[in-house]
Amino acid sequence: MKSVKLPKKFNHTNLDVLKQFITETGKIIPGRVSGVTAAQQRKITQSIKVARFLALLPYTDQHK
Amino acid sequence: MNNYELTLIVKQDLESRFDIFKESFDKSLSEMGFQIAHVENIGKRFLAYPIQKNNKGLYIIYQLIGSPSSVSDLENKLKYDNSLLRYLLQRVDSHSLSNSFLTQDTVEANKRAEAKLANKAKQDALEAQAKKSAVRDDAADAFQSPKNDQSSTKDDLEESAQFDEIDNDEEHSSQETEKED
Repeated sequence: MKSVKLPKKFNHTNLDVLKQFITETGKIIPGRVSGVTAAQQRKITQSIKVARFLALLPYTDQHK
Repeated sequence: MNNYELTLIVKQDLESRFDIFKESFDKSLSEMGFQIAHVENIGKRFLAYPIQKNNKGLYIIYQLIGSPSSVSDLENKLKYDNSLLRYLLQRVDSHSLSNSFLTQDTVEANKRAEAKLANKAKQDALEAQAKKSAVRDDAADAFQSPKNDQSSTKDDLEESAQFDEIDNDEEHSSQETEKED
């Protein structure tokens, strides 16, 4: 399991943090693989989805 | 009174009139009864994917204090604002009153883009130089040995003819074997 750096406080603007939790194709890495706690995983998932809406992160690698 | 965070993505076409847009937007916010606690002007940023065929957008993050009743007014205004690509109005527990990590990230990204451009310009210059010298070398070679080139092409032709003959022989032999069967 790869070690991840997760600060105590983060939101959808901490792209360096969130990029650790998406695959090359843009998918969110599941909690059983990422190895963080369930509460952390919920927050990460929400933050990634907000960042995607604001075009800070891609939904997929198939964008034109 | 609640705390709200409003993120705007403004169309890139507005870059020249951006200050005017921001002033009028600030004014309408205060008219609706919002207090502006902090403004973060992030500036131009590459979008992760195109929105309405726009590849870049201007990002602003407002940290606002206001009453829930004025939120619907604001939502209405944002909904029909043609200069916006996206907006996100979130209620937050408390304001950070400082810049988010997005500013830093954007500054770094812009630096990287600039460095890339500079590198590319350098490489292009080098390649152009290399091409020039290569052209000179070619010209010199052609001047020195035009006869050698001709002889080599003749040899090539002869060789290929020999190969053809061999191929034909092989074909004949295979046909013969088939007849025998």
